[in-house]
Amino acid sequence: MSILIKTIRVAGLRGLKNIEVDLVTTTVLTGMNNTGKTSFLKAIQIALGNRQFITQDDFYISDNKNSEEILVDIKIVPVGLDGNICNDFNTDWEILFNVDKIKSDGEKSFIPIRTIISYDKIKATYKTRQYILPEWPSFENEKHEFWYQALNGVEKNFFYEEVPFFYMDAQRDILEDMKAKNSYLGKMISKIDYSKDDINQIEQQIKDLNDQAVSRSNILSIIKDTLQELDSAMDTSGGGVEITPFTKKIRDLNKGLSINYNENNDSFSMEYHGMGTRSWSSLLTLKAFINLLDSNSKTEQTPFFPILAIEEPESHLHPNAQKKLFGQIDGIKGQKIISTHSPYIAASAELFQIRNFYKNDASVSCGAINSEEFSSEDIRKIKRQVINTRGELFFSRVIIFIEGETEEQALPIFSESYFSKTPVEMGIDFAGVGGYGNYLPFMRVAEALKIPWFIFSDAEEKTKKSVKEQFIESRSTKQEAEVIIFQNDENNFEKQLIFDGYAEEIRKSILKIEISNCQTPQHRDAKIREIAAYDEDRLLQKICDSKTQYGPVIAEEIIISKKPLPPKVLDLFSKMKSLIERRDAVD
Amino acid sequence: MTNIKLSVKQQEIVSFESGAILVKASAGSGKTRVLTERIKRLLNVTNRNILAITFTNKAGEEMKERLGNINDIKDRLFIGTFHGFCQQVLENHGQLIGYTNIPHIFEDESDRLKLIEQAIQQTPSYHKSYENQDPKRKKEYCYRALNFISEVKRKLIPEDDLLNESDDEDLVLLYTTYQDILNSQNAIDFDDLILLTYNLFITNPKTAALYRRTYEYICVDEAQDLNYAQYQLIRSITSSEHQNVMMVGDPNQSIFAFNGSSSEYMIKMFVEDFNPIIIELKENYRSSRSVLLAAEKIIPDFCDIVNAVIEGIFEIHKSDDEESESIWISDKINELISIGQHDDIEGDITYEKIAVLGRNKYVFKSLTEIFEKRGVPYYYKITPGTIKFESQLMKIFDMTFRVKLNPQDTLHWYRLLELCSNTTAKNLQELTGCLNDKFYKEKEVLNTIINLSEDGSNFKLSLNKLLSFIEDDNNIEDHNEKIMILNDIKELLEHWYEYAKRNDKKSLQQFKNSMALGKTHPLAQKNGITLSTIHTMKGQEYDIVFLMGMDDDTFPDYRAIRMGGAEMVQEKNNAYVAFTRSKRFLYVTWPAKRLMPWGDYKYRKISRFLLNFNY
Repeated sequence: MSILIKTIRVAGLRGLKNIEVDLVTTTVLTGMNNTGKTSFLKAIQIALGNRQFITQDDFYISDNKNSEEILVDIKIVPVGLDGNICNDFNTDWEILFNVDKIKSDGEKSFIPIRTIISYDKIKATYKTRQYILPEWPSFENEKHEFWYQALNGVEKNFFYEEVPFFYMDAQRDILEDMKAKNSYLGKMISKIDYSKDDINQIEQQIKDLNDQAVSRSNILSIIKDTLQELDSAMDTSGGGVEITPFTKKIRDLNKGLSINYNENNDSFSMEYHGMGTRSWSSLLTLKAFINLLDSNSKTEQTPFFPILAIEEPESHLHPNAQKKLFGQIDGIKGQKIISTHSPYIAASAELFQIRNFYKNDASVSCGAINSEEFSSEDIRKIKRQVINTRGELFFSRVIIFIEGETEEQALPIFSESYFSKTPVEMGIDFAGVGGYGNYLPFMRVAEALKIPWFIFSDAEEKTKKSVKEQFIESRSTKQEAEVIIFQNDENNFEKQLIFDGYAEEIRKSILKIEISNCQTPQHRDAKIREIAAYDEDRLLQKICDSKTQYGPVIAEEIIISKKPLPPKVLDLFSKMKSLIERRDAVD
Repeated sequence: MTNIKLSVKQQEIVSFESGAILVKASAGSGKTRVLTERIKRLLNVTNRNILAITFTNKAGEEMKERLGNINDIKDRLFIGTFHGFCQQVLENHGQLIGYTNIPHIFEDESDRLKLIEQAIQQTPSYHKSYENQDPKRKKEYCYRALNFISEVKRKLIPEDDLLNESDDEDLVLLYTTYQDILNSQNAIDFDDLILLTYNLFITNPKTAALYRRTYEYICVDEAQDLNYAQYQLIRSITSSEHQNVMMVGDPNQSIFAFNGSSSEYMIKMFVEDFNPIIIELKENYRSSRSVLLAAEKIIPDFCDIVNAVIEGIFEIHKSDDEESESIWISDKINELISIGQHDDIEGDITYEKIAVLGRNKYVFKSLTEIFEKRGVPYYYKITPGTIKFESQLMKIFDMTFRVKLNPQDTLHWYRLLELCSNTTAKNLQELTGCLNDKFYKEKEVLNTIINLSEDGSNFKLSLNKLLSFIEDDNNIEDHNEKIMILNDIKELLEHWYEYAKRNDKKSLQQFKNSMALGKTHPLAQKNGITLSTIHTMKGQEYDIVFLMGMDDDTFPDYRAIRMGGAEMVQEKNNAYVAFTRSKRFLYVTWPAKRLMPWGDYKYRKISRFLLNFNY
């Protein structure tokens, strides 16, 4: 039996004007830069942790005025043995939270906590007040009042050692942790506790070690003997001079502790490792710290549920390490909220764990995928595509769904020419869905994550009908003509290229590839003549036979030809451009 | 207090494990001690909470004091009255029955009288018959109506079911009108607190279960005073699995009959419903033999006089009239004080160890005159609750304060307008604006209240300013009135201090509610001899007690004699309670004649309760 922060609402914090996010045990926050992921983690800190970081800059600005208050509401719910949300807190939690904090909607119990930060003009400090709300208000009620306009309820602080909050910021370094007493590592080391016998035994061993180290070294022995002269001069009856290469007292353990990491039988001290390993180690010491607290709580039979906010755990790490990271974090006890820019981490998470932050029009909103709406087959397809794109879908500014391989290869090249920036720089993803019948789950995912999307589709009668039907079924509120670009009727992408007058560029592409395969000059000349004689049908058939090969070559030939890009492609790009410009205008 | 070792029976109660237990404890049997010792033990037995219900805040405070500073006691033990508990439940979970904010509590009887008058006037069938009455009858009319409403609420009848319960449509209409007026002012009365909490538990079994689990042990002190609603409330947070209820009480001490209480709930219902272990505490550790022998003559065979070690004094004294009765008492007190020490009394005999009791507060009139003349220190013990302001100006303060906190409180708003001779103002600011020079004091009061911050941060400062304003005001001709206002302000400030030092997060609203529940009454014992009526003295004892005015028609009260029956049984209980307030010396006095308001003397007989005493 455990608990969970089910929902967090934030108003007036940095770029977050008014947002609601539902959380699961491990939640991964994705989205482009500057969409409010870190602010959201800070909001959790405001509710459960230290608030000293607050400055005037943390207050939301609109019309050049700062908001007067930062509000964070969190809803804590009970979780049963099966890991699902249940009706009642178990005995331990019920005793901890008590009747004055546990509310009920008549059926389900929950704890609604409101934290308000405001500026005290007289004291010139930031003031925090916490309340237990009388109920969990609707996000927006029928009178169009938002949750933050609902009554505060009774003022009560919510702070429990049993629900500790940890914030791991992006700048973490095990070396710093080893020096700092208030780091998790420092805290743990300071609590190392041996029995009296153990201390005597270990310290005796250290003494032997020190004696040996000195007696076996000529240099140390000479130093020691010479320093003995101090004794006679000072006329004391002390124990003489001691030289201790190793820490003498066990209580000084933390002063000399070093962590080494072995690689191929060589041992390197942490100093010699890169930031990646040091950052990763720092994160793992937090895990160790939490394990320690967890085992203490088990011995004392007290409830324990840590909340971790982890900012970009991937920093400085190699992609292979990033792939392992998610599993390691997921395995930490308690509730984890991870902000990330790493496609590898996003790709490791389950779809229902993803929360995508997206800035549109004036505000930031958050999208989530409700797995119940997808069949397991759909989820498999989406997962595969997510892994194919290495998770980049979750960081897209806009996604273009396509079915064929030629356009999947060609469109990025056209796009770079059109925007004078690579698709990666632009945050544009071209995602092949593997057949015209597969658009629906992808449309739904993009809609759920609130990422703008387009479909660039072939236009055979069968294809067109199916795509249109899928669009209707997606229940998107968008206008079909605004987001789906069909080729001319009955054309696919390749046919359309011929129709649009790029036959010569296609011929050149075929020539380029075929010639490179020719072994002899005679063979080459014969090939050139053969290809020069191809009619349009033959050209088309040729490129359709090995689509993956021709996509990029044809695209490059068209660009070299200085002809305008194909009209349908231009149509798509101009729609994308106006969307991106609208968004940038907001920033 | 002296450290008495627990007797076998007391120990048995303290270490009783779980289940229901009924302790019939007679006066002086150490029941509060047993209760606190048991709570101490239970706090170690369970990590859940304990609910300890007392009938007065005073008794609760005393228990808290005795428990002292036990770790996390504040979080795990609720000691308080039914109303205090209900207020907390409604604060925490009132939203389940539609109260997101706890409503204002109309606790004052005069407020309720005004409300019921409005309700009567709005009920056609009563309106006429009411208006034709003379003022005295009108008041009785209102009281009867209020009693009816209280009775309905104490029977826990939901408003919707009232029509099924009563055939009298006029009564139903009166009830609903009264409730509508309350609702329109976002207010509830004292009886509603229990009714609403009970309804909350009944309609939300999950929440009732939460409380049931949370309050694993329930203790009710003075359980002989339970009424139906209170008893049902206890039942609603217990179940066949949660039966850890302890009731402590003395069937002989039931004196609150006027609010529907009856010792039947403790001795009959509780026994039937919970099948508790019953333990009787009869030993008397508190009173002297003489006092016990006297008390036994009022109500026989209830305490173990053999066990009383201290001899003590019991005397009945007849005086010629009230004045000589007072002089005799004053002389006696002088004599005791000058002896200084007595074997029966621990420490020096001081004024603080002496109390003078009377059936009603008018019997003290001549005694206070003598005390004043001779410079003997004394004070009136007041019933806990909101301050009853004596001065007209501070009554205006009270009304303004209420209106500020509850702008929908039209009842006090109109009374305020009336007192300020204004009919048009829409709100406090407007009213303040149009007050003329004649009302300069009222204006100051209104401004003070308007400028009070919600969190009470400037309360002390503002009230002190008002205090100096009145002090410096030389235009107040009536000296008595000025003193009265100053006393009122000082008293209010004392309540504020009591409130402020107990609460970290302050608010004016909470202050007012705390005052209404009597939680802010300065506990610090005042100096001098205590003068008190018997009702106010319940649960408290003094080493030396004078019970004056023990003439028939005064005690027993003439109204009880006329009514007879249950009223006379109550009256006898009252006499018993009065006697047992004394731990060591008890002096009972009565005047052979009394001066009537119209100037002639009336001869009196000794109280019928004293007839079989040999003196």
